[in-house]
Amino acid sequence: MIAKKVCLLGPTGVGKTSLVKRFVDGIFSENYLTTIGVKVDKKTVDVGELEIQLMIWDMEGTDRYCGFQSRYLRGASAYVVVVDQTRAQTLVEGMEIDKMVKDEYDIPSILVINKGDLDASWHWTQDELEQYKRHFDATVVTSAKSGDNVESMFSSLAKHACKLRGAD
Amino acid sequence: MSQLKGQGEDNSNTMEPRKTDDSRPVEQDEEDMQRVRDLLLGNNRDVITSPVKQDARRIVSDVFSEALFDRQKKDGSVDQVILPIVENSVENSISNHREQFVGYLYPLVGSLVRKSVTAFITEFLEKTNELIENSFTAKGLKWRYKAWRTGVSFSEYAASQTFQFRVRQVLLIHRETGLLLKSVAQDHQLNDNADIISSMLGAINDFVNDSFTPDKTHDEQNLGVVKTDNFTLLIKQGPYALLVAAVSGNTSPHFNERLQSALEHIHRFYLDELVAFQGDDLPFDSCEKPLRDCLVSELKAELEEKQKRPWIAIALSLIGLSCLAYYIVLWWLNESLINQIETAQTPAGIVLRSAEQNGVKGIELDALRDPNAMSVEQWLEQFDLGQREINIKQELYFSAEPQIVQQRVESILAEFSGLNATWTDKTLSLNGTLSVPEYNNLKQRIHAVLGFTSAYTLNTQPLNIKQAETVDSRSQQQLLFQNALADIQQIQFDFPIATAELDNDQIEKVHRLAGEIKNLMLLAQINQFDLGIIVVGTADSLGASVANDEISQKRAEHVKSVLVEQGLDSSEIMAVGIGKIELKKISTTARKVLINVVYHQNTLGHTATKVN
Repeated sequence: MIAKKVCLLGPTGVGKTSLVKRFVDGIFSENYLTTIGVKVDKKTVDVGELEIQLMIWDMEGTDRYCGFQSRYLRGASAYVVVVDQTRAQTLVEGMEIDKMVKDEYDIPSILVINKGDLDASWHWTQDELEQYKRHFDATVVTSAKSGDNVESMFSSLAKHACKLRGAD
Repeated sequence: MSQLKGQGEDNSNTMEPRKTDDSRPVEQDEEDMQRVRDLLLGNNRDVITSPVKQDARRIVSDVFSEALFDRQKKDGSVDQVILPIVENSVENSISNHREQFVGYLYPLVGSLVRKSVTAFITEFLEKTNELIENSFTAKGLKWRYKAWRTGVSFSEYAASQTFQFRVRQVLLIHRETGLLLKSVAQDHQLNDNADIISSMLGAINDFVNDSFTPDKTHDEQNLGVVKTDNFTLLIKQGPYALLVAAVSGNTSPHFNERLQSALEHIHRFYLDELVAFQGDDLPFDSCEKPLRDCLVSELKAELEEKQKRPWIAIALSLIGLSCLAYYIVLWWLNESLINQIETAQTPAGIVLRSAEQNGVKGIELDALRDPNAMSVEQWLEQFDLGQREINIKQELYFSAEPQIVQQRVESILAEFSGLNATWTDKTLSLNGTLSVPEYNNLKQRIHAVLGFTSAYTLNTQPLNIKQAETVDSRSQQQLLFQNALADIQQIQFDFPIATAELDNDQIEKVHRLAGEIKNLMLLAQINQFDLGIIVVGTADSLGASVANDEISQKRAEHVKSVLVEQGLDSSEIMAVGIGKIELKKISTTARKVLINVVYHQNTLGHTATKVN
């Protein structure tokens, strides 16, 4: 079996752990427990005829007070930057994280706009958003609570990890 | 290399398969290549090939193993080439040297079979012993309790106690990605989460790197050991892979070296795969053997062997046990002797009341002894008393045993010369001649002997009593009659409550009475007396008067009937019941039959005609 290391990055509280829990265990909890360091989970997904085991590194949230640990991305095949559409600041922070990753690694990335079940409260125009999206290989609006697009987002991530461009 | 080969060496040694479907282009290529060689080297190509040939051995030996490994891994052709050669060689060798091979193999096969069977039995016994020891012994129960307290399974705890160390799992991890390449474990369940453990170890290693490497000018700080309560993770870092061993217990330096060697071995043979790793762990399936070689364990030396033996305590215990055993043996011997004495037949006139141990070397006896009996000490001589102290406490008593009674009577008879005594079952018959005073004296003394009258009847009929030779012989005869009369009239028979039947002892007594009545009748005849026997039945004062009258009459009738059975004339015996006896002191015990004799002097010279 082929295994791929993928990383979930993003500011604190955007729902990275909730996305992993929804994807791996199929559950969602309103309780918020901050992740310390990194937590690794695994799940097997099918990409075409291939069976890919995703080793999902759920990283602790990054903010202005907490430096980004780029070393955790070493050997990763793809990564996800998760932002929260109810907090405009998270997109800015997500873009900073993305830039720091791209300074060191050239691997596929996906922008995930989480909490899609809630109303978007940010003021970005469509053009501005498109500018941001251009930095990523794909953009997905998800909801860990309702499960919308979670499976498809990880499927897309697995395809990008396998360098199957054009899968979207 | 192939470009430098000469004509004669061309493709005969190459492993590449030749295309046969399209031979023309191949031949064309060969011809072109040959022309190029000729143009470049001409006739002097040996100048170039010779140095290479000279050094060929070293060049090939440097890379021989690796080259074989690479080629085998690539297309498996090494097996295909070597296998037929080896098979042919072995076949030829066996067919040419069959006898030798049989000679070689015979002891080997026997030895192998023996080893195999021995190993199986040993393993089976060890497992059984282990199961029994670990499951049912105090140690096993203690381990179970501790395993339960520490929250680990019993088998894990037992392993931690039994082995100095035991490698439970070995993980080969890709260094850059933290992905698991291969995992082997003692327990297959451990393999289930090996990939997550691998990634987490990679993350922890990254954390250690970040936290403890000051800057890029310094060497990376890598994790070497992770220790928990139950496990030690030994981590060997290679340039492309990590080798991690999960160990319970304390490892030896030797194992560290083995782990390092295994990692180097893997880097040596799987370098290309490690460099090109893209998440596919299939190429690393074949590295199971070097990993499994690391799954070793070392048994703990038995703690008991290391402990010093408390020889003094053992010696004291042995002495104590020996003394105890000696005491028990003496006690047992004494008990056996006492049991022997108690169960032995005591001689006549000795009654053993008790026999007890007096310490371990003495015996205390409590006995009754008749003066006519043998001494107790004399009786004890038959037993093996050894050096024991025998303390005898004895009291005198008079025995009614027949043997003692006979001895007493014999001592009386010894005083009368010319007298013969014959003892039958219950009768003493006297034969000889006695004067009337001697006869009276003898009879009185014999009847006074304790136990005689209750066990024997004195038969004096064979005696020849000298009479009428002296002046006062008549008065002597009267005296004999009076004595016999007194003897008979003192006789009573006792009955149980509400019964008119006599028991066997009393019946015997009636039989003796019958003899005495006959004797009295003889004396009466001599003295010219007429007489009659009155058998008087009585009853106690309990119950109704009518019933008492009735039962007293029946008692008298019963005794009379027994006397008649013994040959007495019924007409000379009268049975009469007088009912209850109302005398204060004996009213409750007067269930008896009394004998009375009514006699009268026959002045007309009439005598009884019938005497039995």
